[in-house]
Amino acid sequence: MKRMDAIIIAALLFLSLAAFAGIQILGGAGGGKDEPARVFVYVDGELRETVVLNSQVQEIEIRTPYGVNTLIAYPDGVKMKSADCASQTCVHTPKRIYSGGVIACLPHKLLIRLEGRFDGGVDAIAS
Amino acid sequence: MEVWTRLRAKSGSTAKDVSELAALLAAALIAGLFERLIPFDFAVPGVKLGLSNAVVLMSLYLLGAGRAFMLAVLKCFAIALVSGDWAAFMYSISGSMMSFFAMLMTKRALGGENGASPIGVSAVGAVFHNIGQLLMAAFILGSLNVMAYLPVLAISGIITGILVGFIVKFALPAVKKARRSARG
Repeated sequence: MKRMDAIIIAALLFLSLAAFAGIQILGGAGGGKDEPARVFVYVDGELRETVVLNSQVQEIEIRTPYGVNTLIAYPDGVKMKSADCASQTCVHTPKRIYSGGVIACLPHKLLIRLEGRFDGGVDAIAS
Repeated sequence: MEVWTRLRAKSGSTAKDVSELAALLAAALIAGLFERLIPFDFAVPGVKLGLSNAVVLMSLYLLGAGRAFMLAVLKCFAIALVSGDWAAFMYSISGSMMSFFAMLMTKRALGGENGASPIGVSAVGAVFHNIGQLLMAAFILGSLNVMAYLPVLAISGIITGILVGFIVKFALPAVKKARRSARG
């Protein structure tokens, strides 16, 4: 490992962290503290559905021209339950709990995006 | 024989060059297929070791840009043909192309005697492989939102890139030596 390698790796790390910060800021911008957490469902790049998270566990079936996915919206996040595709990549994607988090299902051209914070959800359970 | 001589004059490739490329392609194919066997479920899809990139990177040092580029392209086709996963092919080809040109530029601009070793070049290549894959995913999904995966993928790429770089760095002298004695 030479000095130039260390410089390159440091630069890459810095850029990754900068991208992370940028996405956090951009992702957080849409959902203020008072806004409820929402899940946006995009198919083919177009907004199909918006789900507001509440204290219930909601199961949402998404039918795309390419296949069917089942999404679960928890009070504190969102996860893909099932997909009728071969890869199952989106099903293995862990639960998204942060604003700006996405779950992508490439074979079905489906994108799930979470926006907002979850204080409301937690409070709703407590009260 | 005459045809072969003419072909050889045109492409500048000898039979040894062709078989060398074939051997490296086989190595990349095995590395790529082997990697698919390792279950590697992280927070984000697309995290993987990038073992077949070790062969591409090595050929960049051994054979130069032209043949390494051929290998990078052929590798994607070969893996898709054998695995049958043509959906993954779209992502692997865009990732490979980004990665190849990023590595080439890094090697040319920052490489050299006291410059970047294969470790730095490989780290850049791995990160750009992920960027290429994500751009293809963004194109297919019609949404840039998928770029939210980038930071995690980039950091995992830096780590796996460094590992692959170490493999190349330590294997390169031995491969060079074997190549010299094989080619006579």
